[in-house]
Amino acid sequence: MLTQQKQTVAVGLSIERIDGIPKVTGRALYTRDIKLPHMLYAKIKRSNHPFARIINVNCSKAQELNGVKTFVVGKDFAPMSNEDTPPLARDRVQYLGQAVVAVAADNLQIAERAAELVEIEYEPLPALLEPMLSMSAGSPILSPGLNNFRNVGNYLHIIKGNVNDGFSKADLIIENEFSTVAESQFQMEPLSFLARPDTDGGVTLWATSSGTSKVKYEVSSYLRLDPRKVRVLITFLGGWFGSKEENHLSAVCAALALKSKRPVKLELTRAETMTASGVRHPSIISIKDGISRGGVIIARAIRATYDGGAYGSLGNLMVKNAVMTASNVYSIPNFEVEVYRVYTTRVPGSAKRAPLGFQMAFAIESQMDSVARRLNLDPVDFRLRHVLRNGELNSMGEETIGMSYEVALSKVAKEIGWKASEPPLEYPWKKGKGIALAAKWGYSAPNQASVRVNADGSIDVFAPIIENGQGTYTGILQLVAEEFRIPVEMVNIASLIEGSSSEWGIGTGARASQQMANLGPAVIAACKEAKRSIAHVAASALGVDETDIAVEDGKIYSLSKPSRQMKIKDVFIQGSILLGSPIYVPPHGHGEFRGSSTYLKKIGHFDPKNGQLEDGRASPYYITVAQAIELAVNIETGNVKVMKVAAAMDVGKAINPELVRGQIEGSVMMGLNAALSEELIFSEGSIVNANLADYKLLTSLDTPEILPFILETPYEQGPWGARGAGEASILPTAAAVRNAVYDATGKWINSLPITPEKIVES
Amino acid sequence: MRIRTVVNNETLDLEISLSNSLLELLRDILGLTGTKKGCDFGGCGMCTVLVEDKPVFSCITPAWRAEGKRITTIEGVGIRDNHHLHPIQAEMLKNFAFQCGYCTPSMVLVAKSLLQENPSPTEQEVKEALSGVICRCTGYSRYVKAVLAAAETMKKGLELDI
Amino acid sequence: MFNPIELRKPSTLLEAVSDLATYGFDARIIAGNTALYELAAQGGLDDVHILIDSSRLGLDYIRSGTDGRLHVGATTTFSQLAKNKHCLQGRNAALGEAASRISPPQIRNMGTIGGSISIGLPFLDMPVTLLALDAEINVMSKDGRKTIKIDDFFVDYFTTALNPEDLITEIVFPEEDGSSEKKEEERGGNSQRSVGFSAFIKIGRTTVDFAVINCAVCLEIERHESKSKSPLVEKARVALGCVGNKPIRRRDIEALLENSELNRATIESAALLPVDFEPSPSIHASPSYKKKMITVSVREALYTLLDRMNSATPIS
Ligand SMILES: Cc1cc2nc3c(=O)[nH]c(=O)nc-3n(C[C@H](O)[C@H](O)[C@H](O)COP(=O)(O)OP(=O)(O)OC[C@H]3O[C@@H](n4cnc5c(N)ncnc54)[C@H](O)[C@@H]3O)c2cc1C
Ligand code: FES
Ligand code: FES
Repeated sequence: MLTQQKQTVAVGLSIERIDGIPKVTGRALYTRDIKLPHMLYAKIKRSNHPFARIINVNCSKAQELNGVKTFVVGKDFAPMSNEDTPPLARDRVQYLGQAVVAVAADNLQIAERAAELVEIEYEPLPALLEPMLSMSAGSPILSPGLNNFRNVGNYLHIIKGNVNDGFSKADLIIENEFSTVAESQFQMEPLSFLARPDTDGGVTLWATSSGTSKVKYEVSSYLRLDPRKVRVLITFLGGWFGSKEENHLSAVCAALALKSKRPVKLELTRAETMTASGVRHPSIISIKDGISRGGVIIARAIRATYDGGAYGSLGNLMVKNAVMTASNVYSIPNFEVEVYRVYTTRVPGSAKRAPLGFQMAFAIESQMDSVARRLNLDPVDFRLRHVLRNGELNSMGEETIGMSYEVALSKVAKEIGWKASEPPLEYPWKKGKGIALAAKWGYSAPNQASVRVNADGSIDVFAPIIENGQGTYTGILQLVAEEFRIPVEMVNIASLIEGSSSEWGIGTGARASQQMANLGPAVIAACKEAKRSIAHVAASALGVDETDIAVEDGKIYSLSKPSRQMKIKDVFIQGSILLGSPIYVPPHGHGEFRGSSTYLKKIGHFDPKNGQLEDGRASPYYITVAQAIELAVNIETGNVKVMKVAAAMDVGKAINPELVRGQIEGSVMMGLNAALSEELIFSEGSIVNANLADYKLLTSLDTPEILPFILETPYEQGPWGARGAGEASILPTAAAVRNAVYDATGKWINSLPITPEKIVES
Repeated sequence: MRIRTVVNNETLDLEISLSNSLLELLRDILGLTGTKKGCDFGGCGMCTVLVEDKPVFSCITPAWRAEGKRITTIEGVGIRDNHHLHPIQAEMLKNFAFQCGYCTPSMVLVAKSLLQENPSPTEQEVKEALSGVICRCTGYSRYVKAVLAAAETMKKGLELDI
Repeated sequence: MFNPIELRKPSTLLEAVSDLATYGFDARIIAGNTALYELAAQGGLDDVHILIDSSRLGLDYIRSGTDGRLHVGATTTFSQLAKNKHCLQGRNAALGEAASRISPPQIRNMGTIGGSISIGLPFLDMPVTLLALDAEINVMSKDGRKTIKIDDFFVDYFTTALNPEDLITEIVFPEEDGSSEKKEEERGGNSQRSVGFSAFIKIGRTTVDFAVINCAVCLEIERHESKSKSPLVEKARVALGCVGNKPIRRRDIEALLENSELNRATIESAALLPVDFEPSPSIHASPSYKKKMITVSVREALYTLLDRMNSATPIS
């Protein structure tokens, strides 16, 4: 895909967002904005115990309220595997805030009142609010989990070399423990769902979700419906960041609609959204390094325990994120990482931008600085000494390809003035600089797309693209414009008006930064197929072979005899006559060609004993990220003012550079939030700060100057060489902040968030 | 109860309930869904509208407070036809200021109010004005840049402020 | 559940207080309304059925009275305070500073000074400021008018000296130079008068935040001609929020400051006076951190004041 040498017409250019005008004028439609005639409103009754057996559910009082239409309870849904949160609790609740009963009524006030009147009798059980407690012998089993470990839902272990050997040969051992907390994704649009019962006994769902197919297949299994009867539309999303992986709520909304035979709207409050979206997994990560006299890490052992909360929520993928983050970046001959995801009776740990990897990168990049400083080495030089070079094997035995660790690190160090000596700030402010490096793996998942070529040469794209702000509508459009070499105005993304439909094919959606890398190729392939069918028809008209035909800039021409050409609209006339086509022949000069395609990149297998790669690749590609941060600490109050962030990300190819910069800036900001402020505080399993007064987010007044740098080391199989861009840039931010705070104050803070209080009190 | 109010320059007589918020009036009664909801008791800024040209949180403003007041929502900014944008909107578009767009209507409105009161704001003043609207997608800086650029355009009188 | 059934829209104070008298506990004054939805959601307004709109009472004013004192109407918004020159200088500077530190801007446009003190929340920025400024609260009810001294106003969480039928009409701030008459007497007829300065300090976790500690200090100093001399503190009021069920005064610090010259040494010893009480912990901060922030904020306020005094034009 990298062979074209011509000047591009769309790819690589910062084309204005196609969803821009609807958004700046407030006309972009989000799930919350959609209403249907006669729709009911739903409300969920939630558990007020972290762990309890449900003895009885009594809806009779609620039923008596005027305007109450329907209830659904846990047993209305098919039981699912441990990976999934049940839509409504069946026999027991496993976290405080878990959905137990849902009611639909004529309006929200009645629904709320009815939910209050639902009586649930519980028999409380001793809560397991900490992973260590949950794993300890004698704890009740929350979920079958893995055989050898109590309440461990997912476990991965990677071994390279022999760490014990390494430690015994080391001259210095440095061990640290790092911890991170639960955070909310806090996408600005709270979760919302709308379900409409359809005439075939199925349902159409508008859902704030990360992907159409996920909702379609999960809801159909929860409801024991033929998947063909579950149609899903995903409109603009008011942010995502992992909050919309929990599709059990779509099932609740659909069940209410099917039962009441009326459309049902389910809108969660912010506080509910903060529970129902799941949280970033709290973690404790210990890292032990053995260092040689020469200042080289010769052995590293990492043990990471993540609090997974009550349910699995993509647990296998989550722990993989952790090991993938740990196993790259540095070349360490003896290496071991063990990752546990433990069930507890807390809100499920879910996805949030670079889930589990974020915590791991914080720990590793903090450790790198702690070790470097202890050895009196410059943190940049120390990292450069250890980074994996292309061609070297990473800790999973996979060859390092297309990484740019040195370039990225040097770039951000230079931009922040790493070694520059600068005048001190006025008391009580102290300046500090910090740096961190990381790599994000690329997820591989199936995607389908189709395109329609119209007679005037314009193209419509039908692909389950999820637009949560990252700009993928625009990016995909650029791929199509480029493929046909037509102005971007000639391409239309069908999703723009009504959202993306599950009926357009498999769509993995906006998860794991994969849309551009995985859906992109499907779209390009669909374009190529459409071009082939055009060529097929045009060949006889032009009197050349099909393979000799190019479709470009609205023209069809022979490559060998360029003077032989025709317009797309003429093909329809020619085509319908020449082929005696069975298709409907539209009025003169109209018609359409279609092309569709599926894309899935295979990845390799691992040896389950040691996590070493047996064949293929562990990840299709990795994204290098490096950041350097300059900040000031008020040493009296502990307040931190981040002044500047230099952030480099290697995206392979920036299809739209401004959109990529936007992803870098947004990730950095979210990383700064996590580094300095965000923490869900629990008391007895209950989130006590599910509001903005107590769960503090940074504002425009806290924003630093962010300098985004795009690096472009092509990923051969990506569209135009592109890798993903959505999450990677959050990986290094928190560690870079922590390292800068040390630089300013001489204090190591090993737990997130780095609050003013911790800085003052440590 | 009945109230008379002016929304986006249109005088309206409306039937509301005493417990309605201004946000409910706009979204549910008038169908002006450009104003969003993002939190429970105020603080996120998604529901910002202008009352007599000053930004307020409509989610915690009682609907009856609209009586006799001039309300401006995003639907009342910029669009004379489908192509005309207010300079603030145009600059936000040009600067890739937003991503998901959920906070954008509020950002446009707080910027509009600021520039009306202070046509030449400093960067710090812009940041201050935007500080009541949380944006989870961006790093805010492009919004700030866009507002400063819009101030320049508007001073040059290149576009009409409507 | 909050279920209001009637809205009263009094346009005179008399109508307002008669409504309050008629409905008592059943009624609530609605000012900026910024506190009320949350209160309602917590069940705090379940008994309230009558809403009394205070926005037509003509109470949104800031004026310097014929008595030389600053009068601020109860429905004046924080935005108005933050912009008004009377609230930005001299003895009342803390008022404007506190108002501009209330965040975000939308709340400044909505919230009122009257609402902010009536609600009885010890961590808000106005209560601590009014305490330092020695404000008086003018209240009206059907029984007539009364004045409540700020020292007597705050009682407990969600509790003030107001009765359900009371309407705050205005908040009055002492003259620039303090209550001069009394002072002249105390000074034995010495005609030299004092001059007041104030400062407000807010420590939060982020820029837009409720305070972790807020502190307001008002000092009245002897009017002096030369800048070379350290100002002599005649009267000090040092107030802290976020430490307990109501804003408090640090009388120990006030005592140390009064009759001392304000200089580095005094400031350091004042700030370092041990905090001999345990600030209430909050989700935002531990008592230990709050104690440290008390010291930091008092010190910062005093240095700010010293700067202000030194840059103020000496008047003879
Ligand atoms: C998002 C957000 C951020 C905030 N940030 C800050 C901050 O940074 N600093 C800060 O200090 N505060 C902050 N606040 C709190 C805010 O200051 C208070 O809610 C506000 O001061 C209350 O004033 P109001 O006019 O809105 O009162 P209302 O909500 O209208 O009323 C509050 C109470 O006062 C009573 N009342 C009102 N007026 C009178 C009167 N004249 N006489 C008798 N009783 C009366 C009412 O009956 C009611 O009980 C914030 C609030 C929100 C929602
Ligand atoms: S919806 Fe969040 S401030 Fe109004
Ligand atoms: S653009 Fe998504 S919240 Fe601001």
